Amino acid sequence: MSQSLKQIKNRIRSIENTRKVTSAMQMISATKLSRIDSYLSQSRPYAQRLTILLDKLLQGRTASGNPFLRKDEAKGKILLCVVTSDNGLCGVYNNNVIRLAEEFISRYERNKVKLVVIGKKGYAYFRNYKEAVLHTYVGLNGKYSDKVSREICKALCQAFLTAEADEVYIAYTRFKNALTNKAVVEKFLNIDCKEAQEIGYILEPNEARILEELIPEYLSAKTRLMLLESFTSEHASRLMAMRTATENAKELLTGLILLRNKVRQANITREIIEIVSAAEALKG
Amino acid sequence: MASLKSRVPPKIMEKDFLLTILCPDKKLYEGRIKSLIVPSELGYLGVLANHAPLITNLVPGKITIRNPSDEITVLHAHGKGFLEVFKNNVTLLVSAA
Repeated sequence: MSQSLKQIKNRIRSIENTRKVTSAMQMISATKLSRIDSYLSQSRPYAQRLTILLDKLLQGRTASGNPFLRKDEAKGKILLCVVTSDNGLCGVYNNNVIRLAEEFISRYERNKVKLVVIGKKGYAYFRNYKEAVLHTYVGLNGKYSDKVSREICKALCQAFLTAEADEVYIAYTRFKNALTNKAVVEKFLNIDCKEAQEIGYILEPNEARILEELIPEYLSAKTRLMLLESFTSEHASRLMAMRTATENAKELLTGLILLRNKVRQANITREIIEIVSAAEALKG
Repeated sequence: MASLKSRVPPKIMEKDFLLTILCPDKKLYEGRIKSLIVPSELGYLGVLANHAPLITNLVPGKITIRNPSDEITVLHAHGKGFLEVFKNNVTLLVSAA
């Protein structure tokens, strides 16, 4: 046998420890996921209704003085908000969203793209962009907070309103179910007016006033939803990654335990043979 | 007489309508109700069944709901909100309640 019994025992012990850690992390992720998932599913209807309402109001209308509806024909400066996680060990979650963001950036001239990065992993990756990174938000650890969401929304709107960016996009991970989630890039601002006929609503007090209230609410709901979607996906990916790790550890362990037993048996057999042959020699 | 008759709609008018109240983090209310009173920006506004399509924004205040068995529920809205009435389908969006 190439490995001594002691070495094998050591390996078994260390794999056992790793398995304990990964299965603990799996359980933690599972509880976090179920909590944030229910939060997400309860938050979706509000944002969806708000979007529908806004779409209805904007049907067939041209920019009506609202700063958020500003239309820039010359597409110039782009702001991209990338949502990543703070901690690793969550499979391809960060890679997917960062790769998508990279692809998006490469479509534009590099000096025209500014970034807002959420999460340590994204920050570490986009550090070499230096002055292109306007804001970074780290230390969220997959926990949603209204305060941070509001801050991010404000920062994105600010950049748009001060004409620092002509268009704002968000790269985040949309949560479908615990097994599938998809990295997407979505337009945040400016808001496009859609071409369609009116349904004939009574607007009270008037359109401009409603839009003035509706658009900020819509934007904050959208920011909220995108953060929740991302965090839910993060927990789901971590859960999957940890489950795979635990399973792999189990597989390794069964193999190693078999090997250990074989080696031990071989050692015993060898010793018996030694003793027997020594006894034979003494007799003769 | 004939003109009066023609004003009566051919189909039976519904007496109640569907109300959905949504908050950013939960669904506050869903069900068929008889009447609704909301604090719109221009003052309190009552909605009954078969209301014309309407979109308005709300201010903080009391939301009064009367269900088909005439029980009254009062909710308090603390933040901004929006009301959409469309074909007996009323959606209330409130940012805090």
